[in-house]
Amino acid sequence: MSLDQVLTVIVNGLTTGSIYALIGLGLTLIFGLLDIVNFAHGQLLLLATYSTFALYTATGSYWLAVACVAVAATAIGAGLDVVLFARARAAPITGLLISVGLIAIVENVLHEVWGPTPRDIPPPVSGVIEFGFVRLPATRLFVMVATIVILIAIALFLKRTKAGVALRAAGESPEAASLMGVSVERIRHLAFAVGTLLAALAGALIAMILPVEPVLGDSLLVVGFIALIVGGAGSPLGAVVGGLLIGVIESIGISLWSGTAAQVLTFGLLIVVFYFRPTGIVSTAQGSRL
Amino acid sequence: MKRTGPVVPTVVVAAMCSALLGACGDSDLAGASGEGGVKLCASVEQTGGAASLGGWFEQGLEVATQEINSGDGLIVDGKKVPFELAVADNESNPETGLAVQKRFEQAGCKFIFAPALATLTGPILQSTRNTDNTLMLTIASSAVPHLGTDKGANLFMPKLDFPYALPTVVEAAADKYAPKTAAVVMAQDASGEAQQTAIVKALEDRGIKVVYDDFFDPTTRDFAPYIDKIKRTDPDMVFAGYVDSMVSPILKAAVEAGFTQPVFVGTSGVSSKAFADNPGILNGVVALSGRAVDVTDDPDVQAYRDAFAEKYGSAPTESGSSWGVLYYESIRMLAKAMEIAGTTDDLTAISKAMTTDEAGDYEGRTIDMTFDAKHHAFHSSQVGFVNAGQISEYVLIEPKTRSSE
Amino acid sequence: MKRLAVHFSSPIVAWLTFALAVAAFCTFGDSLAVYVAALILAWALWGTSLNIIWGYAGALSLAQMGFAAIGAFSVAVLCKDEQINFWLAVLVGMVLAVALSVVVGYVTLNLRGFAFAVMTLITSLLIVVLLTSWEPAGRTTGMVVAASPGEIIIGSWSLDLGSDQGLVILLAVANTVTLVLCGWLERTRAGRFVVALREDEPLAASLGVHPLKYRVLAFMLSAAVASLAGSLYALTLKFITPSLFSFHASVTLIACVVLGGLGYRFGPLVGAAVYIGLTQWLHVGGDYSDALSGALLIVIVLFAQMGILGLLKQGIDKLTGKQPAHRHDESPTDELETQTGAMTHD
Repeated sequence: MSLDQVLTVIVNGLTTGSIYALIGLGLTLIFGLLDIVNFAHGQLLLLATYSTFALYTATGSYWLAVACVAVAATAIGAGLDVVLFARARAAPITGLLISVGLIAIVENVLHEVWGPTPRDIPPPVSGVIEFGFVRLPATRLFVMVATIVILIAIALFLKRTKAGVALRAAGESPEAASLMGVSVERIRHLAFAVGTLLAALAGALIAMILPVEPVLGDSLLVVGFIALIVGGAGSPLGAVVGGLLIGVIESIGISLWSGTAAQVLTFGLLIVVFYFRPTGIVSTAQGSRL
Repeated sequence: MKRTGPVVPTVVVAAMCSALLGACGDSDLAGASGEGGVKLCASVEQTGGAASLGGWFEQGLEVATQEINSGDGLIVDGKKVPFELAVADNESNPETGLAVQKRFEQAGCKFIFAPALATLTGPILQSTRNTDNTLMLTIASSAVPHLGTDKGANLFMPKLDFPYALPTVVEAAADKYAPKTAAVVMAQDASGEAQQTAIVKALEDRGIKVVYDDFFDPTTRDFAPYIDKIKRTDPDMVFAGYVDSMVSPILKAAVEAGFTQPVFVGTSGVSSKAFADNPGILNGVVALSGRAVDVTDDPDVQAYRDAFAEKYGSAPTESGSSWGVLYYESIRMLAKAMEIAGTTDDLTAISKAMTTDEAGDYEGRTIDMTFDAKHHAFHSSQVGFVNAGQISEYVLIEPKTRSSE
Repeated sequence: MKRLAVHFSSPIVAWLTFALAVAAFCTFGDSLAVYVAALILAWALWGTSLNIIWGYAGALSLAQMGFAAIGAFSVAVLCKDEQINFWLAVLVGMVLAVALSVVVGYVTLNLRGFAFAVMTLITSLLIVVLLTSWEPAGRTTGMVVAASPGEIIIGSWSLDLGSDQGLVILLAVANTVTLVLCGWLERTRAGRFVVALREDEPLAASLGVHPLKYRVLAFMLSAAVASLAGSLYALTLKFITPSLFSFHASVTLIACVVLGGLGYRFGPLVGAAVYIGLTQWLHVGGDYSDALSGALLIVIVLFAQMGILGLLKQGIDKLTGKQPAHRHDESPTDELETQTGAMTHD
């Protein structure tokens, strides 16, 4: 394969991977800090995608739609945590089951309101950018850049803002944090809210690239979790690294061999990472959460 | 573990009793065949992975039922007999599909539309379905091994199955564009595999070299890596995906990769909408079961369009219509067969009347469909040639006759 | 005078009632009820297999459905032309599943909790992926299951075990045998070691209990049970595809077990009955029936965090004025103990 072809394969992998990274980002906050396995993450993402579609159609402005959805998602996330997931603190498996119930509810509602036919959003950016023989659609470039921007924003939030630091503290040691005057419960609500916000942003961005249909939630979820594990639970950078890595591996697998090979390779990656570095590629200070 | 005494089994018993009780009443199917109506029970993928397909089937069923009931209708023994359509959701899940089937049988449904997915119809056909008491129609490929056997006595497959339908599409596309090489990439599921087998064989029979042959996970919507690989094998013609929801993203990825030279062929079920959404693709081929429903100079098709508008208040779109019309015509054929046989109960007589022996060629509105002695369907297809998103011409393809099997 | 003392902790009543329920179903149930009963029993058996590795040994395994797939496809492939005896095929499936569990177990059971869950998830996914590429298994199109488990003939009465009722009986027997086995194992040294390992590994290890060996043993047993359930499930549907055993199935399985009560012997049975009941029976609400099932699940989970049986036990304890035998420790690190509180004393 020529250099251009190799580059194309990698670029394709990075663009697919940035979607996975976005999902992993949202999951890592909720799982890494709250120990909640939120299977409904995919559905919340989808809800955001459909809402973006609806608002965009209604207002004609993609950015306005995204802004509204972002605000709504944060509120919904906080609400879900306060009403439901707060009761699952002692037993994470309860949180898992709650999320299973949520999946059914959200998917049913989406299906009733919008129907099963896939929808397409005309993207706000269009065109294809060419670097030599490598062609990169503007929408995908936008998604990649947005992912990096979000990652930096989250990192800054966690490191520099009071709320972010409190979040990390509560994640590492709830007892110590509460001794320091941090309201641990409030922080957890915040974590869930931010996680949901990330899911919503992922959904809004994915709407630009993929057709929207109710079953989109499930398949993305599994990959999101794998990204999370590969990168290291609790680490936003890890989630992004994990997602991108999986995207690239898939792309290589498909290009060199077949779709099935790509799946097997992804699992192989997971096994290798787990064997040599169980806390994930980007190991966090707190190590493995369980 | 804790011994939990008699309370536990009481709960188990209670749960199971409620299950039993639950079986006794079914709001979907209440009032089995009352008031002289003929009950049609349809198991449809309303939710789950195949929900978009299910929606189109449901449309076909509803339009036909309403048309028959509101018009001249089905006349048996000088009396007009209404159809009662009951639709149940099988959730695209084999376990639920089997439960729905058992519900239908318990409610005394004689005429059943089984699921479209092979993974659901497979278990249904394997379980002891009482072939004397139910007449079943299904387009699922898992029905094929049963046709012509004892189990196929009252079983109909109102769709030309892939080994017969696809070669004609391949031939028509090859006649027009004379490709030397071709790439095939299908979803890794029952339908995709069956189609891939049929297409590859047809290509090889025609002497076209298959330079790429792979499957993708059915949930894939991001096809950039596949397009990249296909592009490098440099095919003249590409067969990719079998429904709009797959083909549209594939075409989009192809345009983004600058891969617009080859002819992209959509098998039956793919509409020109996928191409209209991606006008960057220069040449495309679509295949519809029957006549295109957005072509309005055909009075028969117009009759269908009117019936559709009557029910839904809008015109039918080409997208998905290819699936819906199969069920639409099936109900109409069933009605005609009942009229010819003069009965709504004698399944053997009705089955006989549905086949070419007695019914003659059924004059369909959107398809001319006939069933042979083994209840395989034969119908024509419309192959449409698409250029830059617009259909430029249609070619009507008659099916190849089956050798006696 | 000696009276047959039937007090709350007698399992005989439990078994009798279970047997009566099954008999009632087979005699009076219509075809739908019998089918759902078979489904419930199959999922209950899978649930017990998960209970063995998770409830007892404390390791959440997502590989159970993978083992089930092995059992199901062994029967489908080997019995295709009815040359191989059904029960032999079942045995082959169990052997394969156990062999796989040994390999996976020795490599991964040293890892705790989350890591083990992930590795078992990969195992399951890999099995499904490999099955979909395997030609003799019909790839994604699936396979007909033409096997017949035989007949029971007693005098002039015969029962075809492959019939709907026969399958319910087979599954009920399988469930019974497994649950009796669990009850017996609880009392053996090996069983107590496994529970001890779950509770306090360093202490148990210091007493000479080899952690890995006993956990792997538990895993092997769970694999065998899952495979058996898979074989019988294949007979129930009579047509199987690899996608039946996907990730979605693992989620359903967890739901069944936790709903019933993790660690309670009859938990999976209760959980499966309720969960399958909800998903296959609830047709109230029409278009929104899925949402309603989801909402109901959430409600049940929120108000019965120890599962239905845990709730019942609390109720009984309150009624009989018994003091709860141990306190529920609220600290997050003891989450497993909170879940399986009932198992710490027997």
